[in-house]
Amino acid sequence: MEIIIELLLEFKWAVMASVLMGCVLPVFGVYFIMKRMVLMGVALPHVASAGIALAMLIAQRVRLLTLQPGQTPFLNEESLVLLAPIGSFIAIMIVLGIFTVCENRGNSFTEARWGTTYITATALMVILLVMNPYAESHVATMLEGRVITVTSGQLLALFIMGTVVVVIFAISNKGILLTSFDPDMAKSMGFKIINWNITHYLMFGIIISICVMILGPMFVFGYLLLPAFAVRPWIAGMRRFFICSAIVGGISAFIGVVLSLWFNWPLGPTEVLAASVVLIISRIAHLAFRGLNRKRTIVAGS
Amino acid sequence: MGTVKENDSAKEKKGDKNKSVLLKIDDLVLGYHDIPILKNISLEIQEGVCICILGPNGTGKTTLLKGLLGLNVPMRGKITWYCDNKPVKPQIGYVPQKEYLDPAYPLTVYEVVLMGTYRGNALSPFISHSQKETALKALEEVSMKDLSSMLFSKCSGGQRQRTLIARALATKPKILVLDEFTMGIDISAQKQLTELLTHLNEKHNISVILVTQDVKAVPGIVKEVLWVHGGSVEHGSVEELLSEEYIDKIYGRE
Repeated sequence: MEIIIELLLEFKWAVMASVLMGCVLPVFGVYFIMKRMVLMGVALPHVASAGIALAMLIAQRVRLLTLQPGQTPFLNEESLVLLAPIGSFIAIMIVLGIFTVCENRGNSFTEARWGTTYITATALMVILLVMNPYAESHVATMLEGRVITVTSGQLLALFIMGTVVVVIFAISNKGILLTSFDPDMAKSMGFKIINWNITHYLMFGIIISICVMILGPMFVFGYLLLPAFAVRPWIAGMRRFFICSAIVGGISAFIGVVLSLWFNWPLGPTEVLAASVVLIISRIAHLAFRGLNRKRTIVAGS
Repeated sequence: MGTVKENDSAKEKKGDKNKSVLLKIDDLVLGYHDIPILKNISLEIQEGVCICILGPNGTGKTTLLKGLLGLNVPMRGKITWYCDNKPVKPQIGYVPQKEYLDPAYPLTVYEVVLMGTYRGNALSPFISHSQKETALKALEEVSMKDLSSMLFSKCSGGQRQRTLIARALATKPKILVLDEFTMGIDISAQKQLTELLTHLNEKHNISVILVTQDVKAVPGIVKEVLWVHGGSVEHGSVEELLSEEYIDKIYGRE
């Protein structure tokens, strides 16, 4: 136990980042499930990754073209740290912009469009990495996301962006809820659906682009989906749904950290696995609870 | 095709000095993607009326409804709403088909009704005391206050319809618009809903516009009918447009 506490203290930034985003991501994940946009949750982290790879490639090409004798062809750390969020954010915003226009025009095949985006972004990311041998290993590490190596600066960035986005979300949630649950009613009340969709997607874009870069696509998608999905059968009321998803996400992430340190497993995948186990337990417990209730009703009836 | 007929009783009602005009439609053409579905509609509806939009499937009832709600922009013509004799669009309480709302949202009955109070207050994380009061009053009006913490998706058809009426009432409407309000609801619940609508229409002077394809489901409270068929809309009294001969004529034409 003492060893675990020691390790938790040693990797305190990683622990805090995991628990913080373990709480924040499920709040947004609630809408991924409600609006049946899970494929969007898979696709966006990969779009962000492709954006990072493209930004690195462009910067690397520019660097090679302007290279002076005696200079190293490798981009320095500061450039990489600056370019990654720019590439990730621009790529996500372009894709979300296109999808918002399509949605507003009433185009169907939403799932097929997100599936196409996912697979195209993944293929593009691999090709862009191969095209950039100077940054390949560095970019690959960044795309995988090494939760364990989170620094105090990255944690601060996550905290500031997370707080800003959660505050915007809390302020705009009523409009987002009404326009997604009953768009016709919302329109008849004077709500402009496209504006609310843009606000909603902008928040997704910001949070996903920064999280993918620091924590990796696996953690981001896992924590968007799993905690909210685990909580859903137990919940009556949207406010409770958001709060409980955040709590379950934070607890799952912490369990993941402890398991990872205990068994010396990689942090990101262990955290996702912990959230999956929580989901499975929640579903089994819910089935048992329903069975018990049914039995009680039959006994009371007879 | 594309004609509008207003029969004598509807015209007489226009002359009713006690009632002011609620809605005026002039030479309206509605459709989707440049294809007109309803053409050359011109009519007038008085305030406080309970009117039913009737017609077989696929004839344009929903197109007309969406046009009235402002969800479908007219291809030609004009829809003018009046509030206190001024050409101002009054608050419309819209009650959609309950099947159209996604049960995946774990919303309670109270939360659904609260949505009716979001207008002008959507950019705030808090629910004000007056919003809560409005929602509770609307729930009380439809006798759903005791079920306010129940999941909306677990309610019966009649309870869901009452909840949606409460949500519409929370918008403090001058007009209630109900789309297929009897669909999937048993006869006793239909009767209760009709009583509720009669109460709202007569005691609170809320105009009611119902949309249905089921001629038998038109409640006794309805005084006028808008028959939508063959690209046109006919406006008249219940006695004329719900007579057996007229219904045979409409369905014989399809």
